[in-house]
Amino acid sequence: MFAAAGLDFLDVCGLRVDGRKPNESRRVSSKYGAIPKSDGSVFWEQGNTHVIASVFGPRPCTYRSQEKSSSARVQVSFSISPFARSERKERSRSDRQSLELSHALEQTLSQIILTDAYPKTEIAVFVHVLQDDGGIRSASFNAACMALVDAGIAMNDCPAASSAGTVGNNILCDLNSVESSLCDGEITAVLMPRTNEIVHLHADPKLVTEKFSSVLEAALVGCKNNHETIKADLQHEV
Amino acid sequence: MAHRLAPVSCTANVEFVKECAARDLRIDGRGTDGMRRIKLTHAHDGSTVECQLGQTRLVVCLSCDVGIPYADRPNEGTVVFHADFSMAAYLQKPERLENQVAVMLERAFKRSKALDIESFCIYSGKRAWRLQVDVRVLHYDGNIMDAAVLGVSTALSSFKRPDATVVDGRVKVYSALERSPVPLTLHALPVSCTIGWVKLLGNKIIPITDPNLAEEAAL
Repeated sequence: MFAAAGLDFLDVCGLRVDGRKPNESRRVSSKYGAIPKSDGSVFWEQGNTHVIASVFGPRPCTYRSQEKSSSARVQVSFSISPFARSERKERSRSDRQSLELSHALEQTLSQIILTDAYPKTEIAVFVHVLQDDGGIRSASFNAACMALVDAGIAMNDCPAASSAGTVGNNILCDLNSVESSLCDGEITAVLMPRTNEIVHLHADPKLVTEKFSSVLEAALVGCKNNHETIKADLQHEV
Repeated sequence: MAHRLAPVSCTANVEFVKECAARDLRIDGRGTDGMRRIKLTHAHDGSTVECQLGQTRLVVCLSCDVGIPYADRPNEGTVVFHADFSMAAYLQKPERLENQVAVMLERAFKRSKALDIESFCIYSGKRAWRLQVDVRVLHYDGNIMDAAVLGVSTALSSFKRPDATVVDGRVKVYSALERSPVPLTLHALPVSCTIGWVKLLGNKIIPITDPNLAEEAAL
């Protein structure tokens, strides 16, 4: 729609469709305790993308057979509301994309959480996207990590996630849904700020190999921006 | 397999892989950037390809059928990727790998537009080809992604679908004897490379290409 109208993604002042600069992330905010019955929860807003994450645990395993004697079992369930995007679409929890993201979250969170501190238990994380305006992958990671912080679960570090992509000749940080659908390639990175390690990296087609490092740099800048906001938010909460 | 007496995730095996990596060696004598031997075998009708990457073996089967295109994409056909790990049930959580492989193949071939699914359209809005790509894993010895992408690339390049035209508003599919089958339109052949990171003491990290099952346990 925008391409047909000839709308450029950067206007004469060099601003994007929502008035941001190319390397500026969307405004990020979090409300803790969104689900009172859970052990930890957060309502995460990344621009117009709204994700709600809740953590139940450490609690005894639902099935004794899945119990691990020396560490916790991390289980993540990811789902998207049917009303999340402009067109209503029923998406089941075992939809391929949802399953893939659940597994990615599970793998990453198992590395970040100090599972050896909670043997024979289960930490269940539920991530639900209420509104999808692009960047649901990075928003889900951020929300899941913040919910774990709210639950007081021991972690290696507090990671921050962000995305970046190329639209035409421009490298933009934290793409919204319009930019995401028309971009040439998008990278989502999850960074551990203390050790500067990338715990999760995901690329969507098609990204030119020459631009890969610059897009990754932009994603990491976005991660650091989000980390500053998260830190300030947490200090305010405490 | 009978040659493996201890589980690959046991400490002794993991430590051995790490010691080898520290000396720029691999268990099977490759360098850290060496790939295993690749062998691709075609069936005579071009719809089945067996891919062997070292000891990792899988079979890619392609089949196509006339279906109805999605309402919001009337000029495109469909391609469905499916991975089956039932013969590699010795793995933990094979359904997770099945999903990962299927999503990766979809991303590599369909979402990247390497495979042209607009050429699958027979009658716009009513009939289009539906291609089913089945990847069946026969033996898992690490690095299933590269083997799957290799196998599917080869299978798609050699596969020929039947020819079909619209005659008086009805679709007519020709057999191989009436009209020769048509190859698929591939704009690019994706190439995949898997690199594992072995973490040693002192925060030293060694990258190894094409890890096998024993090395995957040490990553």
